[in-house]
Amino acid sequence: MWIFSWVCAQNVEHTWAPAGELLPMCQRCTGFYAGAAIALFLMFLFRPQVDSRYRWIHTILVLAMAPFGFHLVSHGPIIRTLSGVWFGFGVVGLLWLFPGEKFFTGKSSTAMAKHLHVNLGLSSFILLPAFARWGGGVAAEILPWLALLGLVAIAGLTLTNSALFLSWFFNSLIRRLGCQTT
Amino acid sequence: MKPRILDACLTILGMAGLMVYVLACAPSFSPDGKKVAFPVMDYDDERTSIFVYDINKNKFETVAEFKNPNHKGDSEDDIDMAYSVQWMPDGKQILINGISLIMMLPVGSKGPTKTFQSQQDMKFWTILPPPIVGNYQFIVNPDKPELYRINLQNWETQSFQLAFNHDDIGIPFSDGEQLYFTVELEKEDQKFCSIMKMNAENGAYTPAAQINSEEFGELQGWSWLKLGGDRFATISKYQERVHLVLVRGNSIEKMIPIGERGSGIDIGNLVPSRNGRSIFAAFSYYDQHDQFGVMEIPFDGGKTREMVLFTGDGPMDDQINAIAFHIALSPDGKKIAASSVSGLEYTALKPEDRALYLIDVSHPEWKMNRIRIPLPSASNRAEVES
Repeated sequence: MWIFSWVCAQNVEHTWAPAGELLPMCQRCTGFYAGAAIALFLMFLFRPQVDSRYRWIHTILVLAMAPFGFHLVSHGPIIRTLSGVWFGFGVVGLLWLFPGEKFFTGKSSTAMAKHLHVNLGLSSFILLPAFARWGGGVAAEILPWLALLGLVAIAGLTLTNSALFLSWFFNSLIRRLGCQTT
Repeated sequence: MKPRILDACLTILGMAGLMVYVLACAPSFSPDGKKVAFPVMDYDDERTSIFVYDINKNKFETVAEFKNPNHKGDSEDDIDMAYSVQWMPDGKQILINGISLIMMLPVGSKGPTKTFQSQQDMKFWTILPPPIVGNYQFIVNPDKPELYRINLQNWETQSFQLAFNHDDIGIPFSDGEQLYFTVELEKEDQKFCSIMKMNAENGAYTPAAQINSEEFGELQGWSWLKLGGDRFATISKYQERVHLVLVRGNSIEKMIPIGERGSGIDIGNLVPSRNGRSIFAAFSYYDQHDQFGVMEIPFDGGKTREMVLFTGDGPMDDQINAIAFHIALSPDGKKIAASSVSGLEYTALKPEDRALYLIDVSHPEWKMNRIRIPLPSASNRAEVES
């Protein structure tokens, strides 16, 4: 799990130690990366319809990290992890917009699926910090792998978005150049 | 705004948020990982200077200086010179603890310097940095059975009375979230060491662990550590040999011998390693030319690793020197810092050993850099020797 030393300051005082084993990332990164893995799994599962509510919720989740991430509000380990989880959900939600539209178009999700998506998402806001705090040896085994999945997921979404932006940019450029030559 | 352009803006927001998050959390942006703060004692001039060494720029900066007006040259007053420094979590301020003052000093930022001058009867024991929990710092009064809680935002002070003999109360410690202190108790002719868990808000305390002193011998130094779960660690002398004692619940999990039987080894402070499988300790051998160094003690019973940083030229004046020799671990767990002039009143220190030592413990061979410390008040480029 050395890879986390590249993306996390690994402050020992801000790191969960379930069953005495220090996790390879800080409390906030535990929430962020593990939350991102869960968020992406739920996206694949429910393929949510992107509407204005979807955009609002995920934008707020991303922006709500600012007061905690910049230490404007004093907070403990649970809130640190929780803020990571909601930030992870927000980032995945926003990075899903184009890849979701491009690769996962299909039938709109049912009302039941929407409810399930929201409820499972909200449950993980509570369960993830609780699992890190009280999960013992099981949490020590699972959380690093879940966070690693999240890290890969975030990297994948970032690359996909970059590729989509580049292809859109070059297509527009080619179209424009094509118009000029004709 | 068209949904496609709006989505493009939101995607950029998501990527920007991600970038800010990762960069803000990366080691290179962790200010306390790039700088080392430490006090430099000048006993001849009765002065303490607080130095900050910038690892990347290889430069020292004197950020504060104190003259001791009460210094009379005897050992008790020497304690007045004891200052400890610790970075605040925001990395923009240093908290300095002296015997009669607490100072919050901005470093690399424009915030105000805040100083708290203690009441006359408050004597702060500050050789080990007093623990911080939330916005509070906790300092034991060595003369009375009480613990001071100082609010670091407004300097409001509250005293929590402890129902023990003040001689039996150990120095408080914390894991950053929970406050603990130790107390030695005697029940039915048996001695126990009790680790008390204290509520930082109301001062209520309850036992977190209690161990029979006969099982671990005599406690050495003052350093206690809270490890993960319900584990604690400290140092004791048992059957003429110094041991690292690992406590789990109300029993001793393991006792790991350090040094040879009968060897004159003293331990300064303890720091848990990043991987949670060992402890780093500052040590000094007072019977072997006064060697000062750092060691790593693995929990699995593996060989203890030692690195001597500097060797004295004569007898150690006082055991307090050994206890005052400390190490600090960088947030990424890869570097250890130690200074030969922080707290030590060691007259046999060779001039070339007046240095800040940075040890790369992530390197298989433990690479050490010795950086000569300039005289107080100087702000020079440092002389680095490998």
